[in-house]
Amino acid sequence: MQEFLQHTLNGLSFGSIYALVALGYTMVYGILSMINFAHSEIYMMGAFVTFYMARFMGMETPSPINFTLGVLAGALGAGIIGYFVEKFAYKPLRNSPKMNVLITAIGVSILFQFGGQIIFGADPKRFPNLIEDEVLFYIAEIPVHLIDILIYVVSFVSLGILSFIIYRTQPGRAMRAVSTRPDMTPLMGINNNKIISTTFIIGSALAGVAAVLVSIKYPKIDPMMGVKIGTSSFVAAVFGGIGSLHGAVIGGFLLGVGEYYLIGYGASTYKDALSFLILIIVLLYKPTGLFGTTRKEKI
Amino acid sequence: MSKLLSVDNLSIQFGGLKAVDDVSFHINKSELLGLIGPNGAGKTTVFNIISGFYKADSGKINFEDQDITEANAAEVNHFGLARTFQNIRLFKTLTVLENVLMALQQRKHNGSFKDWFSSLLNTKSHQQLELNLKLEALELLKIFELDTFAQEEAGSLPYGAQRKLEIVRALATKPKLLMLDEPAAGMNHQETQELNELIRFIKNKFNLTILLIEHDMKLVMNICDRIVVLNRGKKIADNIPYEIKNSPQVIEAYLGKRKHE
Amino acid sequence: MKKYLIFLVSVIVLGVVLNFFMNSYIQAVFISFMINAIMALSLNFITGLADQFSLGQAGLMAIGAYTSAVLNKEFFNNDWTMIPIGVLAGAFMAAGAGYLISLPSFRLKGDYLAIVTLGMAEIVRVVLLNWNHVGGPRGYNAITKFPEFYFSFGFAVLLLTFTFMTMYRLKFSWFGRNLWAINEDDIAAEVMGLNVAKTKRRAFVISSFFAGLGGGFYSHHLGYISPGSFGFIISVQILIVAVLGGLGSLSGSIVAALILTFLPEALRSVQTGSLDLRMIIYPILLIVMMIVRPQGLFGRKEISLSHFGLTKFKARGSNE
Repeated sequence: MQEFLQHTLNGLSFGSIYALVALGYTMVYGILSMINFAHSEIYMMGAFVTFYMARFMGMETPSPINFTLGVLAGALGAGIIGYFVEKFAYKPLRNSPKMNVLITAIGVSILFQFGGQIIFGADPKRFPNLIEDEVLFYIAEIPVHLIDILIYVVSFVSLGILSFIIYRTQPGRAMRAVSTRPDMTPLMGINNNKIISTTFIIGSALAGVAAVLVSIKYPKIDPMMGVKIGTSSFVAAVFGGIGSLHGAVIGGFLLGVGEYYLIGYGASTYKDALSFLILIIVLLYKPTGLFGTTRKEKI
Repeated sequence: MSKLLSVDNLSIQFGGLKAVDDVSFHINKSELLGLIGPNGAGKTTVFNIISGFYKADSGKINFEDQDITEANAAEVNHFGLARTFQNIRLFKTLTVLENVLMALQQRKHNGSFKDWFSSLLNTKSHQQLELNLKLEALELLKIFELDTFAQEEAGSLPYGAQRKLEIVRALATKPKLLMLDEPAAGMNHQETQELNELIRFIKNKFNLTILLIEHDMKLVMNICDRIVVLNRGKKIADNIPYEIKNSPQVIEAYLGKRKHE
Repeated sequence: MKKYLIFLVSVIVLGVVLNFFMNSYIQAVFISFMINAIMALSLNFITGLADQFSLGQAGLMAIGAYTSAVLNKEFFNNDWTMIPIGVLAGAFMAAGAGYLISLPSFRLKGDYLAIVTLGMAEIVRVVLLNWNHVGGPRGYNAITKFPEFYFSFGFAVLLLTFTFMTMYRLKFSWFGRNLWAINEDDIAAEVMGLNVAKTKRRAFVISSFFAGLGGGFYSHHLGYISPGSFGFIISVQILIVAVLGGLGSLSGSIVAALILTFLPEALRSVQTGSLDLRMIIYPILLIVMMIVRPQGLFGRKEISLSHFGLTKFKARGSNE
């Protein structure tokens, strides 16, 4: 029972990370119908932006201010990188076959991974201790760490901000419009390119937040760190129904918890493969995912 | 007269909108039935349900006494229904000949082992089969005076010829029922006249039954044997053209629409 | 008949030149080129002709490689004359895996194949890592090789010719026409009575078969394989070859494999430091090509075999 609780807590904490990253995949898919393979590298870059900022600003001492600054820097850095990736790699291909965009996305992903190994070095780097972790309280003798609580809190705040933007603001409305009828929105005076950029910035910023949170909990970062979280999060997005925001969040939590049960109960060596196995089963029995809908194509 | 296709109590709902609401009609063999109605009446939706693209929420579709309600688009074609599209859907970078070949070959290449190996080894019988297919396709194109374009890319044809090619391609699947979705869309008066001739011609030549969705009232009134009128997803009339022309309900449906415009 | 003779004579001349006048390093690179070409063709078939993105060719390659290597060692007593049997078995294993993968991949429209194949490759890698009988992470050692270069060369030419001819015939057959029609308009293709999902599944099984074939031979060429030999990066390298040659152009894949196998080897002498610059150059090449010349070297066209030497191209589907 205690073990079960422990896995659940760990799973939920990772689940919220998956949710944040999955949102980026699902938002881009919703608006451009493309899998942004480079999203996992934008996540990685978020961690490195905060890493270098902390180093250059000499943020050595853990403090709530440094923590906040670190998270914001990761979000901002990833957002800016996401913006430029979209602008230089995807935008020129707006009218190209989808295959070309996918290939470009793969190219961008590899470029960041190996460019990162050259610029940052391939060896793992120690992420600065931005906040002093401590055990806050115990649930049934399970210690609950501050960092886990912070992961929940920051994730939920980010999700709150996101849903506010999407459902309560003008750009959010425009975003939803572009993802349903990109052919009509320009007639309504919406600048599709601007909305697509905004989507990339928001999705990337969420990934940046997730990256900083993970790096604080597991303070080793390297240029390949995005691959695993990226694939799991993508699976979460498909599981929830790609294109659906709620689906991404719920898929993220379910996958996080599911993965930790599997690790906890002995399947740990197969963990990386298992998330894909889940994906394949989902595709076989409910291809649209939990909350996805097939778009009725106009015939 | 025997029924070829019968549609019974068909309904489909998109979100809160009842796009098709309890529609029933039938087509007799060798009949030319027109399906008309104002914009958004649900004509194309009915079409898409019959041709297997949408699943109806309720209702039944029978074709030659076989239930085809659950059939998907490819299966529907194998039952003997072929259709064209409102917005032309040709294989644009394939040649005109290849467009017809693609349709023809679905009956000739069954994907059996023998079929695979004879095409891999390029056997004599395979070459003969391909040659026959090409000849048949050319013959079909000739009937519609498209044979001179045979090696052109389909997407490069003039608009009218593309419409015609789409009909040829549908005919190449050897249908019993041909369903035309607004074939006169985007055509001028003279082209519409020619289309009128063409439809009559293919109906006799290929001994076809035709279901025609159309906006152009003149075309429909001229060539249809019978007309079904839809309005807001419901059937409001089913009669010979003369009666339809004078039906107050139909006039109201169309005029009512004009008021909104 | 004449063109087959010309082909045979040039292969023999090439074989003689390589065998007697070149060192073993160039010989090995040449074999690598042919394996790369087979792999690129296998990807090109599904991605270029069927327009379905696969990111798992390396995984299928691994299935072929391990099947063939294990068969030869465990059942054929390291008998090199049995290599062809093993390679063929590897191809069939990969085709079987390809069939299983194809089941969930085409149920919805979209890029699901890309992600399912990516997952498959990862599953294969993880399984191999944990399978101690085949060496786990240490890899599988001392796989039987051909005793002489000319056997190796002959077999490689045979495999490449078989791969190319099969795909070439299919490309210009009813099957190729169906694939192309689906690329153009899958809804119209369906209305013609074509089972679109089934057609895509078949295309992927064929692609998988040849990926397994290439992988099977690869294991006997190197004599050593490990899960690391079939990472994601290998799939990306295969993709780059196919893209450079032109997605849809089979002869393009072969030309591109030639360029991309020999060029890095030639550059190796000028390269300094321990960094593998290819992993920087390749993605940049991909991105720039997609923006500037997405059709690659040859687009969908084939270099006509009957006019080899003259620059005559055969457009897809044109009737000679």
